[in-house]
Amino acid sequence: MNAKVRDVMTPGPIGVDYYQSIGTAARTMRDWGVGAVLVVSDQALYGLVTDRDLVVRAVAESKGPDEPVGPLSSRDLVGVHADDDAAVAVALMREHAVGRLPVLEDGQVAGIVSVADLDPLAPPDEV
Amino acid sequence: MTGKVRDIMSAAPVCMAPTESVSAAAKAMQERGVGTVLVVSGGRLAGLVTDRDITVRVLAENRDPLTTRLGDIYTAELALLSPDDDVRYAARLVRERAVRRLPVVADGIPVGVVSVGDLALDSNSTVPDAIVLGRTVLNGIVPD
Repeated sequence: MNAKVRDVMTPGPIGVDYYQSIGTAARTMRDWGVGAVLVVSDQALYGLVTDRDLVVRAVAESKGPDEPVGPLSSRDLVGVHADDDAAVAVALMREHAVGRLPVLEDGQVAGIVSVADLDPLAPPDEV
Repeated sequence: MTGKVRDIMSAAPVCMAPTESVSAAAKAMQERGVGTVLVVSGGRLAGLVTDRDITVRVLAENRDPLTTRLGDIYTAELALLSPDDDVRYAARLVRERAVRRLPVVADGIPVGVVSVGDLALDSNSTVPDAIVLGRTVLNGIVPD
């Protein structure tokens, strides 16, 4: 399998504003069926927040659902190109111990690729 | 990808009673670095709760994590693995059941959890430096 990142990514990433609430971010993930949303501040990409982030950085810390989601973001993002082989995404996730990568195309974030998007049945050297 | 489930599972799973709060489970997930809590009642596996479940079934629904119990939100219909199962079987279950985490049970006792990340990342390879994009590349991009 020589799938490209674009073939396995979830296109059209969903964004929330830095000041939108944690509860709104959770409902956005639920309604769109995604596990991560981009966080936007001043019309620029600020970071990324996952369903897990909402749990371990908000619920576990007794932060309420009305607090802004922005501070929960991961900021040091590692990206991958849409034209890269899916194997590159696998390697990047392992190297950086992350489960999701923003996918870049033409200078924009074109999607998000998740560890769950990658084929667990493919032999490692051919993913 | 070869090997047995016991080789890739996360052992010593976090187990909690159905009467424990969602808040306590979130703290356990944070402290233990896991995304799954197995819900155990009377020594038997009753179900599981994932970090995703807490987001969708508690936060999104405006339920209070302090008063909502694991018994109120856990998933009871489970596909189970044995430590001796082949990793390929685990991968097939993940795909067919569209689940991301599977409990591993031996002699009726929960002994581990396999996550989709354990499967997809179960290999060794190196990353060329040139494809690593740091925050300097990503920051400042305006999403559509």
